[in-house]
Amino acid sequence: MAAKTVSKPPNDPYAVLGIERTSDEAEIKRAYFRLVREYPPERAPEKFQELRAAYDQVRTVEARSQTDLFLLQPPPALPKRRKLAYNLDVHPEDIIELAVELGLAGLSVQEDFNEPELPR
Amino acid sequence: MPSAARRGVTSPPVPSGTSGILQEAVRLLRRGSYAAVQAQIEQLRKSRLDPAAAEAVRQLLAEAHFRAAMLDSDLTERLRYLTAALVETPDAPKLHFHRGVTLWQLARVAEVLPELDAAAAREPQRRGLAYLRALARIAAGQPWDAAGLTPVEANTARLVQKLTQRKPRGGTVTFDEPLLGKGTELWQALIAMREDPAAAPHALLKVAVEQNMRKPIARVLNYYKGVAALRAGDREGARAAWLYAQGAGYDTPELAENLTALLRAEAVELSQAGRWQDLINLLGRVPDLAGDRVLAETGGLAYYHLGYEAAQAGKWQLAAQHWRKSNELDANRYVSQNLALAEEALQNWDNAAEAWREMVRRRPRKEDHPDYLTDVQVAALWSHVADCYQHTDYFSEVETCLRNALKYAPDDTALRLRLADALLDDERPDAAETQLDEIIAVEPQHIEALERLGRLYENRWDRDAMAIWRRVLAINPTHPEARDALADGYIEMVSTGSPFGFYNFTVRNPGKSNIEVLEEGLRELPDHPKLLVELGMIQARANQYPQARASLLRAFQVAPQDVRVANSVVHELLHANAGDAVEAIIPQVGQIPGLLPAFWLDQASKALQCKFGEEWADAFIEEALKLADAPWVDDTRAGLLVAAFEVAQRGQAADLVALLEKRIRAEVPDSGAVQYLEAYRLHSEKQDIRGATRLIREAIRKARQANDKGVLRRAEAIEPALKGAPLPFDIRRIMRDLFPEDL
Repeated sequence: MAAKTVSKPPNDPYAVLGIERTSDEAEIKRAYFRLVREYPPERAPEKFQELRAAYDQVRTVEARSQTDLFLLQPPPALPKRRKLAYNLDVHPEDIIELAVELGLAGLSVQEDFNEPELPR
Repeated sequence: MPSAARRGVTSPPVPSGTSGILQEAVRLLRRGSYAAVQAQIEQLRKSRLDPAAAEAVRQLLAEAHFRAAMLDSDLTERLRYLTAALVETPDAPKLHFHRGVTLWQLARVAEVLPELDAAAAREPQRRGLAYLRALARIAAGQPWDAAGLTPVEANTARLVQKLTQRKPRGGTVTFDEPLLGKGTELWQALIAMREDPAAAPHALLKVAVEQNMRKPIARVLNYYKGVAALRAGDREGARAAWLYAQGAGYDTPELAENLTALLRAEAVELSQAGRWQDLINLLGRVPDLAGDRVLAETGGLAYYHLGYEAAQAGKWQLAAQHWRKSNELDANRYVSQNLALAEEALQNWDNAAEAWREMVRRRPRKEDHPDYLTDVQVAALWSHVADCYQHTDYFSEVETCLRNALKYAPDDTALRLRLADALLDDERPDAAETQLDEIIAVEPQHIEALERLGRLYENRWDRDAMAIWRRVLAINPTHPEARDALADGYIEMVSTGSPFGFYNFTVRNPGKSNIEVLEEGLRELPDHPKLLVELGMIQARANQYPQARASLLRAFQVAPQDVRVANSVVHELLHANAGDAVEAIIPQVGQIPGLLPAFWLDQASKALQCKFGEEWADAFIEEALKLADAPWVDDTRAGLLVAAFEVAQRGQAADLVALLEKRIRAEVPDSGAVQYLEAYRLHSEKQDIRGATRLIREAIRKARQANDKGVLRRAEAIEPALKGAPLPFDIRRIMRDLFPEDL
């Protein structure tokens, strides 16, 4: 079978802007303007376009909610789990079972196999 | 039917009479065929029996049930046999005894003592009975005494009582020897573990397990070996011992809880360390992972991480595999989302669509949920699913998904436009029209919807496309497509040959002349070149030459770079007796960017066809030759001369043919064009296909030598036709005759 064509991963505007998925609007804005100062449109038009497109995707809550739908989602944080306690006690039922089995070990079921007497 | 004897088959003698049947039953009992015993006895029970025989029947049946019970390892089945045996002989002490033991083994402790008491009432001296009754009393918290017990049994029972008391009374539990079983290590170990919750007497338990390796108590001892191991922090040792105990039939809630706790603790540690693959390996040992919600979620998270790592490395196939497993263990919308994106990256569009749908299905419905999806988001997702299906053959799914999206965003005109387009692609114009109407109802100035509606109406005799185009122009007066389409509408009105032209002409424009209709069009679309050309043509045919000249020159004036307009204007001016105007505009036409020589060759052809004289054809050919060296022209002077020669031949312009032949021989003698035209002559005048073929090959050879791609291309196109049936030389003419509309 022919190998399937593999597309590039979807463009992640958060990665382009160098911010976390959890960044708030102010952080996003700060990151964008910092990068725009670094890559002004007259000097780096392509990079500026990329930054602008990324910013447009995340600048508002509405835009983010749409953008996030079609981005890879990083794994969630580990849920807090209570450790289950071990039951390492000695249980009376087990002691009884041991004692019973030891008692039964001395018995033979075959002794109870009796052949009924038939009427003459 | 022949008897067995006649068939030569030997069979055991059939017992006759009660005595015979009973004897046969005893024989079967000895052989261990207990089911057969029952069958024999059931036979007897159908007849009337004397008391002695009836008693023998009960005894035999009870014995058969008893033996079957003792041989059955399934305790529930064993109990069923024993209960059945007791129905036959309710007073048999051995049955009560063994039923009591079985109930004990089934952990139905409360029912044990009555059974053992019943056995003791009838057979108090039965071996082991007193001991078991004492244990049953201890288990039930009842007083007991050592009467009837051997010293060993009494010592053991006393120790059991001390060990099973709810709380140790303090101090070390002591015991007297001898005790039941090999050695006292097992008791010492249990005493130690009972008295000190941290005690882990490995050595004692090791000895105890070794001493009782093949005995039923090995399972209990292994459980405590596991307990001791875990108390000492040895998880692997605990797991091994517990799994052994479990395999040997030790089945208590504590064991299940401990195994689960062990697994979860390891799983949590591995997940905290980010050792996802090790975690998956660990969970691989769990037979029913989905049955433990916490472990399933942990496994789902592990696969989520592995998938994410693979995706970051661009390994989408692997990522998809992991996320599919994650989805199986702990489905949630984020896994579905990632899986869908992985499937898209792999271009598995069906799978991607299904994963997106899964995500939509699994979305929380309560608005206060953090993962709640708004209607706009759900609509966007359905729209995206439709995108995925558009890569597949499931066109109906595209429509379904877009309709689903519209349920959540009914006023989203872009979405509805997509649905309309999908319906148009599916050739369902009526359904598309409904959607377009809805868009326009919401947004009356939606130009794209109006454009589509206009195009849709152009194919419908019962709809007025022009009205739609007028609406578009009211929104954007310079909309080029609408202007052209409206102009086409007017032109169609005057074209009775078109499908709707006659209808338009007679129904919509009764009493108006073609010129009046077009003039009306020009009032609505001033200076539209198409309308001006059409008007000029009609005026020329009506001998209104000055008017035609004016219309055509105006058309050229307003669209001087439009090749189609120029094409019509040049030719129609000749019809309007305006040769001087043609001469005047030829230099301007020649300046149209990218103009091809074919433009002028076509003019030459039409001039000859309409009998405007060979001099016009010659003039147009000369214009074509001027373009031979233009950088955008992929032809040669020789090639164009050959093409012009063909045009002249078709137009039966003898002088022009002679002139062109002379020019070819003089101007491009080594290009292969000479051989080409000689082949042409040989074929068309003498039908000499063989000779023509030879000359065409010569033309090809020469053209290659001269690197004349114009001649070479034409000669190579002709050669295959000559190899076949005796076709007329001009293959283009044949094609035009066969498919006039395509050309």
